[in-house]
Amino acid sequence: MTNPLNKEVPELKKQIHLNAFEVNGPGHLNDELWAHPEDERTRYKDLSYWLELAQLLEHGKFDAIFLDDVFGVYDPDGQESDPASHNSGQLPANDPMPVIAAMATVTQHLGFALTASTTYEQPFSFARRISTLDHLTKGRLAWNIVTSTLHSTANNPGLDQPLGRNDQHELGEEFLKVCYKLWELSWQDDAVVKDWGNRLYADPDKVHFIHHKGAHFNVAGPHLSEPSPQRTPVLFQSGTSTLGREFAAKHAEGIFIVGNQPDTIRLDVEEIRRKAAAFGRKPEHVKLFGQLTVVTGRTREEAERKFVNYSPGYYDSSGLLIVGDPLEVADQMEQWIAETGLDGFNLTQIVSPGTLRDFVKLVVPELQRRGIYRQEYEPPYTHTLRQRLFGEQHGKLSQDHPVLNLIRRERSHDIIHQ
Amino acid sequence: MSKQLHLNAFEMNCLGHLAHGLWSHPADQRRHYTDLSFWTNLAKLLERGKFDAVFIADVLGIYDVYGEGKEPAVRNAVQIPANDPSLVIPPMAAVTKHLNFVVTSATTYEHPYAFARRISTLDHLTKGRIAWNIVTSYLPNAAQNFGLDTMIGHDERYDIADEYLEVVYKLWEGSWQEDAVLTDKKNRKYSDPSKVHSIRHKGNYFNVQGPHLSEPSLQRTPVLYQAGTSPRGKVFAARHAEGIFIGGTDTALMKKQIADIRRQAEEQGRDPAQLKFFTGLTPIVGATKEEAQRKLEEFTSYYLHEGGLVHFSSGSGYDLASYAQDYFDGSGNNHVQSAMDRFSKNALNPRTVKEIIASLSKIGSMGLVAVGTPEEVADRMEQLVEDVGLDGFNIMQVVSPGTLEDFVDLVVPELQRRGIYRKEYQEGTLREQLFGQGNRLLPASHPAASFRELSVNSS
Repeated sequence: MTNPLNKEVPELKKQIHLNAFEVNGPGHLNDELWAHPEDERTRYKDLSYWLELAQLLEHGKFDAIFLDDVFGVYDPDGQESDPASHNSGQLPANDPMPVIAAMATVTQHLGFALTASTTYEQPFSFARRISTLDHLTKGRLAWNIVTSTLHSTANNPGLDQPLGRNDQHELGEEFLKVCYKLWELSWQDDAVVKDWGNRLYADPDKVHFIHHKGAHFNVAGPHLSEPSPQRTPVLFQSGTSTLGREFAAKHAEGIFIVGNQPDTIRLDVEEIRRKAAAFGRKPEHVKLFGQLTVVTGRTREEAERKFVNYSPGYYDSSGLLIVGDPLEVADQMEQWIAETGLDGFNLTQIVSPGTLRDFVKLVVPELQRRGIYRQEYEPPYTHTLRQRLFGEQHGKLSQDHPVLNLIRRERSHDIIHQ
Repeated sequence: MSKQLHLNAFEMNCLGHLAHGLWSHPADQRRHYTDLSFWTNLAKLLERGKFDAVFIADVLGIYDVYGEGKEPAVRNAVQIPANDPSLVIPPMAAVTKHLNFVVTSATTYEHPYAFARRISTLDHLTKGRIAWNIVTSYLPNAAQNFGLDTMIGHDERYDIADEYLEVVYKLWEGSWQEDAVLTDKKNRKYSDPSKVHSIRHKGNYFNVQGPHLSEPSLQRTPVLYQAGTSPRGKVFAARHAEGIFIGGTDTALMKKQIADIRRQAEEQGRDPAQLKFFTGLTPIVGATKEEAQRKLEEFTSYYLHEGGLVHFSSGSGYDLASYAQDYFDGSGNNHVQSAMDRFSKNALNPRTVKEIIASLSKIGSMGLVAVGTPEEVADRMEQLVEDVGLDGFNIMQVVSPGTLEDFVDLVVPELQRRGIYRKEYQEGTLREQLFGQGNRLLPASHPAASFRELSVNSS
């Protein structure tokens, strides 16, 4: 890098990325979260809950709000049972997509990661919904790819039994391939000409059918949406099983690792980066996020008092936990980033939105003071989420993304043989 | 009080909806359809004009019947590019309090379970301002986007739709009892599990276990809209629909169809007053008749005739690029049967194919057009309501949002002065706006109500 002023450039510290982990329902991760007197989750049906949350997160310079989802009721053994609704336990759970569109109206920078399953949706209409959100948000969308496992989910879309894990992944791979073709190949970069004088919006020679034929899906195309700012949204995955990790290392640009042991997380991080490299991808083209709960106050005593007040039953122990004053929280976050190789965290809440409000007010300024977290979103705000995560030149899927190369080969094959 | 008019703005999340080519008019803002502000500005305008709703059309494929290819549709931007209709609703809801939203969704290719939750979510976020325009989809390319080689037959599409509705009624009306949600923080009970039920639907087309993932929204079942006046379509409308869109330009035929559907609904035990009828109307308003006429001529110079032919060909299934006979033979096909029958066996004075092709060079060829002063447009609307038995209109735009701005600023005050259109919104859900206070839910005479018994029979 050249430095016109010839001043010493301070070494840039590794920047922490932060997402807020949410779900469109009263309960998330813990059955009884919503029941705490200070919790406002029962307002999840009101637009104002989401608009206020989005503004809080943008004020805290978060990368994104990461919306979890369920697609059935927890009933893992397939037994006839009462719906798992007694303490909420992720039922009810509304659709995450509509709240994203609403939150986009009151923010300019905040990203939105949407969880959706490849097993029970039709790729054609799903791809268009994603393109629509990427258009409306001006490129602030990510998709957390899930292959479902809930038995009741299998019953819901008309399958008698859930697919086996291998079948789910095979179907997931094909679902993604259809989406890639629609997002990346159906409309060429110069298809939209906007030639008002000649009354031509798009050049028909540059809009293509995809003619996908596969084991699970036949999709003709063309994609009904013109290309959105990112075309393919930023791809997230939660890679826990072996197959899941393989899938994540191949497709995902952001990977969410759930665990409460830093040593195990470090091994997961190393394994995923190794696997990504084996697919020909640069390790830095994958960002890794851990799950973290932060309970903070102006003093350690205040933080501990809060934590005692939340326990028992209000917090989920599957991820990392820090209870402390802002300095202690920042120290621990820095230490875990250094130890594990993670790039950032999905922050969970104990009381909503109080946990995040405390974090934004007390911890964010400390992270900023240490130079490990953005003071401002990088101008201009037209930057997409992918550019914020990977840099200016990364507007679209990276050229080393293996699936992109694969479908490009198919495309040229089709054109030659047409 | 005289009969009150209901007004919807006819929209679609796309560049070119009905006035083909007008997107190139300098005053047209549709080129910003991917911007949130296009939709939030539209919503604020319509709420200022006290509109009932924005009615958002949709398609699931490209119009590739005309000339047997995608080129004419892309070249004229006939409903391509086209984005998803449901996702512009939350932004519009965020800037309005009363405006309602009719979202189009097809029953033929997608599973009802996820759809039911999407609608419930919208009905929650909007506090009961959602309607669903039920369509069975008519484009061959749409079938090919969902795994099929050809379209499912016209009447079977309605059989699927009937079962699809049974599934969503069970989810919306039957899965959660009225008192299932407790929100009892003290005892940490959000809901009472004995009052939340699996639906265990097993049918010819769908197996759905449930329960519904969403707790009940204000309306539970959204207001149900439907279009299509084929014999099978009319049976479907009479059974399910609360709002019915009757297309075309032949008002005598419209009148007959409205009477027919009301009669069929009554035969099925429904109150015919619980059905509201709408048709499409393009208003072109000027301070004088001459000014309005000049506007029409100027707009027409931007209209793409080929766009009209592309649109008609996919709607009817007859490729106007190659159709060689003098009259449409009216033989059945799998497209919009009513669109075809309107020009053949149902037409009171059938027109030649040449005449129809010529008519498609005009603005608003897909519906009625009212050109004139605000008084003249209001006269026409009043007269249509009286003569045809309509309850309201889907206002079609030529220039967006210019057509609606003119209408809101010039015609709405005239309708209000005549006492046939609201000056202020009533509080309540969309169903209450249409059918009066206390009508938040579907009435007991509607077939959906029978699935409220689900909770008693199962569990």
